[in-house]
Amino acid sequence: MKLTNEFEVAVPIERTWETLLDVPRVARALPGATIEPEGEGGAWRGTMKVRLGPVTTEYAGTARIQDADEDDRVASYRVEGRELRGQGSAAATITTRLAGADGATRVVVETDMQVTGRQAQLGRGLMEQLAGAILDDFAARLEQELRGVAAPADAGGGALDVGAAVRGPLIERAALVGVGVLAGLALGRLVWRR
Amino acid sequence: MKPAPFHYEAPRTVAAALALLGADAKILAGGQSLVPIMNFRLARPATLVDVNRVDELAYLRKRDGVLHIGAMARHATLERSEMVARGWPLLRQAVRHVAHHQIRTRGTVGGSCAHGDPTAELPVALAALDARFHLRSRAGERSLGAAEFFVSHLTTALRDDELLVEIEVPPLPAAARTAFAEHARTHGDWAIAGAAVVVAPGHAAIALLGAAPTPLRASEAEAVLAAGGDAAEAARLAGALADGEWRTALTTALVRRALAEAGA
Repeated sequence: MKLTNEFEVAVPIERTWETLLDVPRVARALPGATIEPEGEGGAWRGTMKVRLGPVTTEYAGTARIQDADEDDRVASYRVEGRELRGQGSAAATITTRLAGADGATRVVVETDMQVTGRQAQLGRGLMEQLAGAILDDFAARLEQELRGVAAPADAGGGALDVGAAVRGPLIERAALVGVGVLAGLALGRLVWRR
Repeated sequence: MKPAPFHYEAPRTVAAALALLGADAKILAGGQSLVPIMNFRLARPATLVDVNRVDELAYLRKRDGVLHIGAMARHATLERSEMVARGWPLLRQAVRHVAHHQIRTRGTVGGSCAHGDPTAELPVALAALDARFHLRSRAGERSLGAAEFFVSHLTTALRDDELLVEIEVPPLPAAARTAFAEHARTHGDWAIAGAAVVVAPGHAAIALLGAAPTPLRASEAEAVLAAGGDAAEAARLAGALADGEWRTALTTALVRRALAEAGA
């Protein structure tokens, strides 16, 4: 699943580049994410909560800079996580491309994401909306971080409520799928108990 | 089996790691070669200096067209990097032959080079790419080419007090094409023979795997090819560097295959 986001900040390209190579600062901009302050061998451990209506999924994993092209100002990150309670996993390669002009920087964020487990059963369309909402929020927070404004503290226990972000025609489907997933889980559990 | 008892250190900086190095210490990188050797009690270092927590060594960077590979960059990171695939496709071609996915997730580029196994893929690819190896000790820093860095079976120019910190790879010549071919009994097993090639107008590099106790550049074959000579002749010359009839035949065939893939 590939997604592209774009934004522009009124910050010179040099400063934007430096900030983007600071993993904890970039990770702080991920909605619902917490990160351990100290890295280990270039990898930072952390968690991320994603909530879709009644379904909250928490991932634990690592984030690292995969490569940094200082000539073309392209950096890519690798984020990998497993569900804390469940069998699913999520992994993403996030590539940021910078272009500078008149003291401002245009940032293009390309995300290539793979999700397995229960979350993947939500279906491609909904998954894309969900990931798109997370990325929109990420881009907005990253922009704030770059401008030197601390990212606002999260409401609701640090989890991003994606349900709120993808309201509209999708919400009905989301609710249906959410109910379906819950019903499936409940059934599975009943059967399992026997 | 379990390893013999050892003292364990896990420094967080290069400086702290260097302070711990010495005759009885061994550096632990990804551990994909060292740990099995220790488990068989073939290696019994008194001190193990684990450099997995050294942040400053885990990077892949391109600056002024030159690729800088931090010694602790993982095989998997190199494999996934689009930046590397665009500028140095040979590295991606070679790393895909390294063992299995699980091993590539832990194994490091620096560890693979410092271990000095003549059948390892990355040292051969790096030799073909004219890479430079940066070594650091408390006394200072020095940099070596592949021909000086790789000395013999499991032996490199690294002294007991030195740490391999970076591998620097120059840009490929314009319009260069690269290929990597090897033969292993089963996929992921140690290769028996192999070849990494770089072919560009007026330039040719052929590095052999398994033909000698170190990665071996086939300079005669390269000269023939760079002068616009026949690929079959170059492959024959390269194969002749390997010992024994079957190894020569195998190496010749692999060089031939790699050259064909690189369009020579």
